[in-house]
Amino acid sequence: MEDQQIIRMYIDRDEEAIVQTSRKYGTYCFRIAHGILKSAEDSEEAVNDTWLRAWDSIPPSVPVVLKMFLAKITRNLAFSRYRMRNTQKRGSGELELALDELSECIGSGERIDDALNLKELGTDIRVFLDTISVRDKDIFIRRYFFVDEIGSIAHDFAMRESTVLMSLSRTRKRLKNYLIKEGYEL
Amino acid sequence: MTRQQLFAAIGELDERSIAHSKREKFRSKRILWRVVAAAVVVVSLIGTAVAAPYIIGLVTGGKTELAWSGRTERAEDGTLTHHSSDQHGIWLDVELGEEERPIENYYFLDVTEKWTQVLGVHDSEYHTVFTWSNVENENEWLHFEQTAGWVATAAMREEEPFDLISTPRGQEITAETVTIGDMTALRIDKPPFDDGICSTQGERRLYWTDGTDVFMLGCSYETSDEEMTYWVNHLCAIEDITSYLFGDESQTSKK
Repeated sequence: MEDQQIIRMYIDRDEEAIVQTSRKYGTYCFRIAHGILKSAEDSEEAVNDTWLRAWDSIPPSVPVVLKMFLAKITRNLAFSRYRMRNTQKRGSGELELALDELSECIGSGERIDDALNLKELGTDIRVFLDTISVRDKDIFIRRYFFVDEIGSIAHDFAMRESTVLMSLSRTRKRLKNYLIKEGYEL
Repeated sequence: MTRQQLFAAIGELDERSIAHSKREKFRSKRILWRVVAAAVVVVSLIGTAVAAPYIIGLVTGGKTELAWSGRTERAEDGTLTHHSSDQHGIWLDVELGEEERPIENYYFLDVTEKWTQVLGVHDSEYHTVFTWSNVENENEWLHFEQTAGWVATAAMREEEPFDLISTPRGQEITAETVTIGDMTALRIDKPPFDDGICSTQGERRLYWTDGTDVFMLGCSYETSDEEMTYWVNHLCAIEDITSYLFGDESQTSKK
């Protein structure tokens, strides 16, 4: 079924929308959740929560790209679940590696900034990403949005892993400078 | 700000941005290149002829004496497990300055007609990547990268290896300093490996610097010393990098 038809169902409050969404994007969303959670059970729950969140969001939201709209929800729900699961200790796996890498952007900071507006920071990061090359931007998103493994990114971009690592390292360094310039306390 | 807050904020990126990163065409392009490699050779030959006037000379500047002690470290030593348990890291102990500076003088390989270029990427003025395939033997390939020195040294300052070679656990690679003309380079040899569980094609790499940028020439393991020397001696400085680019959208990202 076409995405536009599915979105129409959401807008019309037709519960078949969830069935169709699950059928079309269930595996895709599961893969995203599993990349973060590394647990089939938790991932399944995150995906089920995704359908509910989508149902609650559309309308008023109308996805520009349904697949990515769902990917975003799944990713963020999986991350929330990861945080709940790992409040007392550091986790492991690909997400932990990605978080370690992101530490380079925030200096010594493990200080929670309660006043931080994540939406605004997200907007600033988007603005920053528009200043770097398309490829560096895509690699950054693949790594820190989708938590894809380095080898997988290198494969998809037909690059060597070291080239991917270098691109990420360079982007992190620039992001840190950008955040400082924008007045974020790191 | 914590790393988790930063990660959460990245989750606020818009759908269009994340959709672009997930498009399938990078991979399909590579497959396409293999399919049309034979046809591309004609274009490549024409391209070489057209490019000839822009070639402003051989790279004599690349042949400076280096003061580095190239060394490798195996994944099992512990340092590299951050990224993968099956890798060797190559440190290039060379100081090239800390100032952010784009590549000023671009280089390209003047290869013989049996090679067809399959990739040319210019990555944000700090990095170029070119790849060729042997039209007579698709298992034979050639790879050339140029990286602005400050990027390479910045990576080293972060205590990350500048480059990595993925190898199955247990595979040995060798690294030695070699002299080609007046130039000193670090040569890495990774022999083919097959223990019944893992297998990799072998490869050879040469790393060197002209004191400004860092260069890497990679090729199939079967490549002879003479051929590698030939390529190093056939580096050409080029004025207009755009003539040599294709295969990735970032080729147009020159700012």
